Amino acid sequence: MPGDPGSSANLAEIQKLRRTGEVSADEFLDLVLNRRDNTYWHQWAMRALLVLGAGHFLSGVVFFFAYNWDELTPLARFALLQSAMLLAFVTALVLRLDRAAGQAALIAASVFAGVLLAVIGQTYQTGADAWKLFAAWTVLVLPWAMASRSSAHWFLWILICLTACSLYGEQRLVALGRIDRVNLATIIGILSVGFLAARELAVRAGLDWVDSGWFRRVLVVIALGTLFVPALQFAFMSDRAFPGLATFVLVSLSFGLVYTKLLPDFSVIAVTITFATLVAMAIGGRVIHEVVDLGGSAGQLVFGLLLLGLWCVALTSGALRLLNYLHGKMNPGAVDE
Amino acid sequence: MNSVQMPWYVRWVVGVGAWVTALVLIALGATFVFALLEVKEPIAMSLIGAVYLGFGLWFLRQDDAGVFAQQLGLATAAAGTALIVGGIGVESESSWVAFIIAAGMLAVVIASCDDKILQFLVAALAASLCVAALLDSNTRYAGDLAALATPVGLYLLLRPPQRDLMPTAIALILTYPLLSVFALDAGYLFRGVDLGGQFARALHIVLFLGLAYLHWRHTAGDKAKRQTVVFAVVATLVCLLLPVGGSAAMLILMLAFVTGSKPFALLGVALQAQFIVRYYYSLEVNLLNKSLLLMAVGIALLASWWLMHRVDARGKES
Repeated sequence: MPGDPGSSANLAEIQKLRRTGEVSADEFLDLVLNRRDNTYWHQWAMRALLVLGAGHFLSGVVFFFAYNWDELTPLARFALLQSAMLLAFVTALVLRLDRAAGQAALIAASVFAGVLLAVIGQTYQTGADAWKLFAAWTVLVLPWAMASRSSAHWFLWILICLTACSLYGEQRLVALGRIDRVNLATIIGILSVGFLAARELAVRAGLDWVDSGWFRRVLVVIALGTLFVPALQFAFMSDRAFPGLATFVLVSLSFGLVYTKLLPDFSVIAVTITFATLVAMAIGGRVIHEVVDLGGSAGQLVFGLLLLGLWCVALTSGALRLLNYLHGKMNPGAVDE
Repeated sequence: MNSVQMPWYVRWVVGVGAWVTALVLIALGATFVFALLEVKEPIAMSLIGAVYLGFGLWFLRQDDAGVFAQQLGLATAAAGTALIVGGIGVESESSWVAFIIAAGMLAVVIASCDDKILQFLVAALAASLCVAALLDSNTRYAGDLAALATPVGLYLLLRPPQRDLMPTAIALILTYPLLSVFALDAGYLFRGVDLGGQFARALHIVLFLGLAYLHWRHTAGDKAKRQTVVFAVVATLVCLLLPVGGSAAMLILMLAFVTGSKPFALLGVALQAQFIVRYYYSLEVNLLNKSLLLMAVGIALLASWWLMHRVDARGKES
């Protein structure tokens, strides 16, 4: 796909040549390797190594303090974590925040801050709810996230913030009967949409470092994935989940509008259409269940399942047609599937 | 090849839709046989399945079929295959028989139509049934045996026959990593069952080094060749240290790098991330040892990154 660095059409395209006999089995691999975008994949490998290394190391640190090792006194634990946090912070400053290594070091400092809070809770057994730990973590690392110039750091911060909000909702609002669990999922979904909107505004304001495609796509998946739960619950006969369904529909339509007209991004459209198709399938199931009465005779059940099968085929076909149409509009000269 | 192709993830959208539809059609077939006709023999499901499959393949072979007919054909053929395999499998009460039938159905699908999504769904069914048969029959080293799917998949992917078997190759490559999610390294099922792992790990390392060699062979310049060697050495060490699920994910990442495949890259990252989360709950090693192991792996990877970064920086300076 021209304009798409490291395009994955590589294997599939060469497979087509193999099928027509233009490329032999011996030549296939050479062609795959020769056509690969070496610069893109070299950068990808370097980034993957850094992310994997940092990810494994930081997970190890989390596991280590979760073990609650008796040999290590509380003072030693605090000293270790605070020193690690300080070291990571200084390393980030020395390596500079416009470089991947500096950004990774600052992310490490943020993770150490969370582990430190957990160890404080582990040591003093304050009886505080888990949401307080995550809320404190969210607030404490916010300045670092703001200074980081890294979408990975912001992503981590968003995950911590969403966890804090979810836990607060579960342990306070749901537990005391103030809201339904279904509505909590809707609120978290809306919050995720808010983060996505903030990301788009930041890009518009000229903060280029937020402009990584994966960040947008992951936020879209989190937002729609969270709203998908109440929408599905409505389909499975829970009328209380209607606000969740309505929000899902509104958000999906907004994504459709924004990411075709204002900020064209076909991958977001594909994700949105996938979720919307699945919800429409489930809603169709509910409507058919209510109209045909699937709990009645065997004949009714067979008829209902037949209708549902046709409905699912119609939806998948419609989704594919829509994707073909939008892809053609967004990429003039596109090939139909 | 210069025109703009539909991106790879559109196939996933269609695949998910076909999979859900196939489930509904399977329920329809089973209800028709057991509830409406009141036939109690499971083999009757296979007969309905054969009708489904016939219809499905017929739709898929129509050159002028519209999108609706294509989708109907895909879902019907997938559901038909599952019903045939399920009916015979239940009748014979043997998961091995079910696997053999599924493998036969895969051959039928490959021979009779070009639909990649159908081929992938049937190949995934056959691979799952093979693993289920290994586990069901309490075969020792079932995990190690399942790992043999990986080299076969890699061979089909990297040295493909003229007939397009890429979907089968992908299903085979994913068999072991997905088995590890559910059954190995504190997977959700089969906790405490000895499924092996040493052979699988050794196999992953050999395959990993094979892929690194392919990259090395095609790399021009001493700097890049040196980087490949450093990476191969560190990655071998990491695969030795990590439990087998982790090394399987590393292999997928290496495959993504060598073939320049974003779908494999995404799968590799997702598998590695879920492996670390799942590893926390593994009961085979205590948390302290796990933490030390992960930190060692992290340091090795970071050291390798630093070395390669230095080579890059020196290259730019000179």
